[in-house]
Amino acid sequence: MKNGIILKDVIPFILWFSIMIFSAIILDFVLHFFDIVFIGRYLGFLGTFTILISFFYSLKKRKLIGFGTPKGLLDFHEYLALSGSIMILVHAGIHVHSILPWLAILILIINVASGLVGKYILHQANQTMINRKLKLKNSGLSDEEITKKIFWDTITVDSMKKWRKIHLPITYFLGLFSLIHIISTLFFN
Amino acid sequence: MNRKYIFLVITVVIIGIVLVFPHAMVSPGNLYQAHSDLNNDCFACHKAFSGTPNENCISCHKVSDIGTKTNKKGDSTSINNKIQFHKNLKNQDCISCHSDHKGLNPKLSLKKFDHIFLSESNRNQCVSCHSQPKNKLHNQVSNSCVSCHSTASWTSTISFNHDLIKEISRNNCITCHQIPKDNFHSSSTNNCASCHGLNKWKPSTFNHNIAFVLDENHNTDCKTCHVNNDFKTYTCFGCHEHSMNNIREEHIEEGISNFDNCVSCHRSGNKHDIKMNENAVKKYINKELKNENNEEEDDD
Repeated sequence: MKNGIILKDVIPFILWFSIMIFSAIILDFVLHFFDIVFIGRYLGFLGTFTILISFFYSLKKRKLIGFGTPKGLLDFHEYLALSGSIMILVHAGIHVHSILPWLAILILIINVASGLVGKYILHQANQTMINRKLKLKNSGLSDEEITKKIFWDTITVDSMKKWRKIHLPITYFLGLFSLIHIISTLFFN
Repeated sequence: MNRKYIFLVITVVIIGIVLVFPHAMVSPGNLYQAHSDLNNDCFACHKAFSGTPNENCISCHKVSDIGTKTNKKGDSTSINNKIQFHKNLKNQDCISCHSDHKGLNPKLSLKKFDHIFLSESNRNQCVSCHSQPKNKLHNQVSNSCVSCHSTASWTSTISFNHDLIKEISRNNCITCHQIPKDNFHSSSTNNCASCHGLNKWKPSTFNHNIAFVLDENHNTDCKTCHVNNDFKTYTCFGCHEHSMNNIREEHIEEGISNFDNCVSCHRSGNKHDIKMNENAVKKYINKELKNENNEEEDDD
């Protein structure tokens, strides 16, 4: 099967990601339905704080903090960054009227996607490709034939690796846009 | 190292764009027409890290002038209750009600007004700001708005108390309510209270049992028996074993030839429970549909 990884790993990831966006929309709808939209404003503070806390993993990775295990802090990072992102999405809703907050939200979504690629797909996709390779080898195919057979899988995995690499630069610009948004809000409010 | 410089340059460019085009980058929407010339002059209203101080608004819009001078030229307009309204506010914080940026509701320049800003003595004087609706209902009721409406919203959950209607009009339901457009209601006269109470429209007190008991075997839509919404007639034929032939055979067997008016004998819905009570049925139907009974009472 040419597109084994796409069917097995990429499509479930897209579905999962869509569910996350959908849950933010549902939460926003609930806030409007019960006329408690003011909660959305506080979700902005809470979401930002939650995402900031999740950066303990990045600090650990760069040996700037001593406590915690990388694996534990990575789980912590994934969980908190996702929760915080949903809160920020609800906070933004569809009430953004200027360019900068729109860019911040767009970058947030791209950033979550790039993070999820690392978490849910890349590891799984690598494993799937190794298994396929082994299976093909056991069936007696030559290396050249195996390379041909897994051509699309290789292309997909390479694309995902590049996608994951942009996670940090995107995070930087997300932080920059968020900071400008927060400062401008405090400045003019 | 090069990468760091690239990041730095992009960062500086972004900050520069925000500083040069603050309105496009961070403003929550255009200003309303009257203030449109201030679109790029944020500090005409805002003060850095201090919000939008009242002084900035009042420097152009003096509280004492609101209602008399409505525009920048200071054109005099007729004096209205806006003067008193703004003077009597406990908290004269302009932006707690007014938002000049077209944000979430571009058609609404006022945020939701919170009546808590009104002094207690003014809070219940609704008509000093709101005009009483000129419709049949409001013409009949007394000037007690809070009995039905709350300050949270005009359409409130407070149930309407019919005692507010002047007694002489209280039984004249159709001045406010429309008669349902079905044959049953259109054939009845204005005697709503015989079936409907003042608390709820449904359930009505109409007692179908006196004509025919709607037991579990006959729990069905009105139109099943009253074809074409005609409540003056009914038919039992067409349901399960109630075919014309079956009924005829069963009744002829018993020597009964008049079997057109089923409920005259089978009022309970049970075919074994046979009671001849045609007069009572007729009387009730006449009472409900033709309102003869009501007329008789009036005559008395």
